[in-house]
Amino acid sequence: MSNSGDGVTLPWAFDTQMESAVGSGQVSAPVVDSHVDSPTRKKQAGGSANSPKPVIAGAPSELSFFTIGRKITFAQIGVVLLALIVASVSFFVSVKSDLERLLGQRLESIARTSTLMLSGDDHEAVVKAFLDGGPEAAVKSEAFGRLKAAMQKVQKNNDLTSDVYTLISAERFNDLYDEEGRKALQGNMMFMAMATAKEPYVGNMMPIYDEVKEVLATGKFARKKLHKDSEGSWVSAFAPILDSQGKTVAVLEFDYNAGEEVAQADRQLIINILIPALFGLLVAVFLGAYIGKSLSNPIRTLSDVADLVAGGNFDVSVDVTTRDETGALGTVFNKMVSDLKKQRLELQDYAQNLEKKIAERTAQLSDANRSIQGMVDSVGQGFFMFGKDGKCLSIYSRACADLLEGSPAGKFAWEALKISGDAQTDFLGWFPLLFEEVMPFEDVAALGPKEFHAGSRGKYITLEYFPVKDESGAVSRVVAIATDRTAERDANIRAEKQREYASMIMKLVKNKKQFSNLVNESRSYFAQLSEELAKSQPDLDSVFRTVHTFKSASASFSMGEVAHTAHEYESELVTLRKQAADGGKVEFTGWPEKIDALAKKFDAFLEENRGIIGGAAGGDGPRVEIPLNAMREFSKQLEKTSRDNKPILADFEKKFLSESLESLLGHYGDIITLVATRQGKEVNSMKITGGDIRVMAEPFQPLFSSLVHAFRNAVDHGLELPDDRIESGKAPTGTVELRLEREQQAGKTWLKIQVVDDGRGINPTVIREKLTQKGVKGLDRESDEEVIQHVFDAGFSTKDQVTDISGRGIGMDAIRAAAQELGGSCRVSSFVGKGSVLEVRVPDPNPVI
Amino acid sequence: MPMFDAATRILIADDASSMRLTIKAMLNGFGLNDVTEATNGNNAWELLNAANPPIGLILSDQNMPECTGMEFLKRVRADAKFAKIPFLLVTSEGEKQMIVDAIKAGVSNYVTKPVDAEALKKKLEAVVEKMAKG
Repeated sequence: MSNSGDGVTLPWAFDTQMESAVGSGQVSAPVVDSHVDSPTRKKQAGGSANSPKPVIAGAPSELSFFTIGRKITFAQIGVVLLALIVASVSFFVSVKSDLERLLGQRLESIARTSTLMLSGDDHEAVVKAFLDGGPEAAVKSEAFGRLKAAMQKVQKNNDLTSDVYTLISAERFNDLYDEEGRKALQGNMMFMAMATAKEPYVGNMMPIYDEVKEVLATGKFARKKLHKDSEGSWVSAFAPILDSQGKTVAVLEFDYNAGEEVAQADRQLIINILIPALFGLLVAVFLGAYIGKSLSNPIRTLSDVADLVAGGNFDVSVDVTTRDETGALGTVFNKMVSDLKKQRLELQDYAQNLEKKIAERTAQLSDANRSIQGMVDSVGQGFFMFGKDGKCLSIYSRACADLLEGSPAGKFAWEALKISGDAQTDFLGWFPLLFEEVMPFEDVAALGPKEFHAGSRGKYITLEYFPVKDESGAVSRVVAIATDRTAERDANIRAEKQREYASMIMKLVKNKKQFSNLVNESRSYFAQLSEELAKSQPDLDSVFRTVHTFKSASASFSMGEVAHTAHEYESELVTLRKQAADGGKVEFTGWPEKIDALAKKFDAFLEENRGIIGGAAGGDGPRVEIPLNAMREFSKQLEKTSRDNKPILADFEKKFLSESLESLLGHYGDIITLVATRQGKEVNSMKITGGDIRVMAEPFQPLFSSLVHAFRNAVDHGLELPDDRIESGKAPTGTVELRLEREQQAGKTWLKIQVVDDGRGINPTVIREKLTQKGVKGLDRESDEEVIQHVFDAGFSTKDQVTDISGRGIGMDAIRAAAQELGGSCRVSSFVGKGSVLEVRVPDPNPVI
Repeated sequence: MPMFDAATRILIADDASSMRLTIKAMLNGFGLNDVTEATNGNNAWELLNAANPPIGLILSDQNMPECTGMEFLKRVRADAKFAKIPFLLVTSEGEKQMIVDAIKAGVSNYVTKPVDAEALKKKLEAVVEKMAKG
């Protein structure tokens, strides 16, 4: 029967016979309007009505009851009933197919997302365990545990009540069996892993579903329509499980027991359709039996309309205008049709809403995904995620490719971070702990790599780690964030350089005198170096010592570039010294040019900073500021004297050209602070006693310059870090003191200089070990006090690491050389754990009293 | 945040008395006053075994003569009687790998020197929270 479009063709005929029988036409064929039809309208009725409206019409009449009644037969009632049942069943089928479709969609979407959580490699491992040791071995395997956990999670997340399991084709084991065995496998599938079953049915076989075959063959998703078994009515969805190569190795099956929904549809059928139908039938039977046996057009009409309804057209009804049994039947029929229509609409509505909601949610989700991806990409940080197996997910921010120089997707986290060797071993030991949660995540995260070291472009990239937790609060993933902090670091370096530049200026301004001395000494250093290098056999130690002293001096005035170059040359000389020690021949090729370049850099520095340095940079020698009172005093003295002004000149020199030791050595106070700051140590400002002693500076300059090493060593080797000091029961802040004295001995005036620190002291045991390593013999005959004097040996160092602060042990050598040059001596004394004293004694040939 | 019960008996192991004093003062600040002090791992082991009522929290330095914190930790964890006692290791900067090993050996958490009262408090609270979760 056709109900398509607007052209509903109705097969019923206008019955003239009936018309005559019922007078003005109580029952007529379906018409568009409610008018009593004329034969000429018949075609219109069938051809143009969108909603054909059959009418059981006529003026209410006492007669009609009998007239119609007589015509009702059991045959007609049978037709009506049949039509009703057809309509009901068709409705029922449509309800069920909607149900099937919606459930199927939902299951499939679950399957699509869930299969991503299952590892095909794990699955293959389970299959292998099964083959090797049977179902028990398969269940005991770790891979089974992981699959099971993942499937349970899926079950839980999606409120699935029925089991989730995986299937493989039994025929894949064909190779393992003979003909007989193969027959047993043929056409079967096998259960492999399952989420909840108490006694897993691993390896159980049953005939393979077409859908499973299809998924295995194509790797596509599939659904199985409503199917029944002893357990219930099921809707199923199938998803491929892929291994790491992307091959479909098994099928994941989700079942949904639609029993409840089916039962509800059945109930609806009974309550809303079958019961009214039966009721109608009873009424009809009763009336029919009572009234008569002839055919009735109204009933035929009803039957035809019922056919329409069965065809799915719910926009029809019959007009009931009589209160007879036919009218009653019509009323019941109309109610049934309108109920059907209502339910159909509700269901359609529900289905449409559901679809719309799903579409909206999906759109929201993909929108959210896009926004998050966009956000993450726009931050410019490298985000990526890795799981318990250390493998990175395919989700990562675009910046990763740049910052980590490659996409992390599919790699292991340590590969993405380009960590190799020992660091990789450390990483492998560390990262599983992130998931174990024995302590707060950040405490474990703090133990991981903090920087991306493999960068090929000198970038400074920091790494941070954050946990991603699942619903149960357990860490399931770790997000690693790589941030480019190159700009920040460079800004810090620039700031540090500026700070150093400012401090250099401060030092220059504060210590013009010392700087002026440095300038003059430096010229002599360069001259010495040129002279030495011009020799046929230059003395390596002498060259080294001079370069080192110049480096230290330039570093103490923060002469950045100059000090840096000097440090580089010094390092090269260290290499040469090693060569020499190994018996190699030392070549000084290119060194005169190097020293020349260094001198030029030094000159350039002076030129650049002439504004600040002023005359001190020039070669005019030291400049002296003379107090006005002193000049007046001097003039008076000069006036009083006779022509012989020699003593006056001597007095003049001593008075005005002598300098206080404080002005000559005081700037070392800045150096101990600088060195301490660089090393994270704390030191009090340097205490000087006897700083007012005046000397004629000239002969002492080399010694005073070499003392820089004593101060550096006192902080670098002597003072401990604040925590260590606290541990040893000392104040966290260390002390370095300069004690100056003048002594009379053996008819000479001596200058005694002591650099005293309260650091760890010099440990004679360590010195002995060091010397023994260097091959020095006969130490057992030396006392501890004698042994520690070896710190003055050329090339001695107790520090393994070379720093630009001290640590090559060469400085102490320079002090001794300078002291001996003046006819003096030096020695160290020490109390282990308490501190050490470096003492220099030199004669003062021209004492200023 | 939850803190250890005031009645908890605490064992501090450190060779430096100043360090023990510092940590003890911090613990007192958190209302924890029942503190026993040991100077190395061996000494700590003896005190742990002798303690009655039993020790409820151990704070041990890593670098100690005779028996290091790590060795002490392993001994403690190997004994069923003490396997559950919260154990915090006090370490120095740059001992990351050692801490990773300590975590594997069952340490509850770690504190890095110089020990800061706020940091120590946070770590203790985290340990208590973890114990409550089981």
